[in-house]
Amino acid sequence: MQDIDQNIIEKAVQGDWAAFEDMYRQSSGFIYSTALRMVNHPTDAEEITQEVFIKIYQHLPQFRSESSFKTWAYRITINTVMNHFRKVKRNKEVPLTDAHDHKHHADFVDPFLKEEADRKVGLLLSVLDPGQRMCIVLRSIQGLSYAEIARVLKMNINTVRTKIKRAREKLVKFGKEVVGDEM
Amino acid sequence: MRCKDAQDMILTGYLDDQVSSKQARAIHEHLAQCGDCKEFFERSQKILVDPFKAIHEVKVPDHVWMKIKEACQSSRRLSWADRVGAQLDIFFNGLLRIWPQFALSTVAVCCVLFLVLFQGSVFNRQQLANHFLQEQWEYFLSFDEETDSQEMVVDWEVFL
Repeated sequence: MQDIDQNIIEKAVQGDWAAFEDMYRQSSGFIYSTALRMVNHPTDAEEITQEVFIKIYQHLPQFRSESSFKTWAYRITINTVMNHFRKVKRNKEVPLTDAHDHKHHADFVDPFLKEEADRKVGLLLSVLDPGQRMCIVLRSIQGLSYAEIARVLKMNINTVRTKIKRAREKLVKFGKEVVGDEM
Repeated sequence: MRCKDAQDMILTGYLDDQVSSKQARAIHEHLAQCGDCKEFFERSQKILVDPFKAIHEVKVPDHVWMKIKEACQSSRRLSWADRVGAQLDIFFNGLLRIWPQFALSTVAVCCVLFLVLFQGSVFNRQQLANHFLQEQWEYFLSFDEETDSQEMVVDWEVFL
């Protein structure tokens, strides 16, 4: 996980707009991709990305440089995604995921994800609850180590390991059923 | 190694290359002799690793930045006071981070100074009030010559 240069962060804190744009260019990719894999919907992922950067802009002066910017940005992203899930659940009264509901799986996959691997990953992630999905996205897509995930989610590393193990057990169990015979 | 331990390890550290060389060797040896675990490992690899490696990197649409810029700049125009507050926050956070003892002792000295000055001003006000009342009392007594002011006993504390 490559972090953003401290000078850029300090310039952005001082109100240097170019520095803030530089921060956006360097970090928007992982923020958008995390949001997209979590919610599996491009428009929602765009809205989450916007919200995350507005929060970063507003709270940048409070960012403490002893922690990593990316860890902080991931944390804001995860919180924003969880708020999005709560909002969706409240408004639509629809359960977030149900591993046994195949109709729901079919609805969950967006046509935006055309490529085969993306489709498979979208289907696989749909069988997980948000907490497990978060761990799998951070580990298997973003490539964070267990220790980094623990820092982002403010969890014990053993809790992260357990969540990843349970999520993968579920994926192995339902993977073939959900994705089809090609697995 | 038991099959359950091997499969647990496959699902976490082994698939993520986060096991020690000793543990990796133990799993290799177990997989070489256990068909079920070997099949479990191959299935796990196919479901849990391969699709995630094959996905393409997503690109953030350009209009996202335009919206962020618009929202941030309008909030910047509105809240210069917040920015001053933020600068003060940075200053005090920096001070606390660099030298917490200095910050705490400064706060303590400020508290003591405040108390001393406050107590002093109360004392001065009390003296002034005493003096004023004394003057007033003497003035009233001067109208009544028959009154022996020396016999008057005044409890000044009542007035204060």
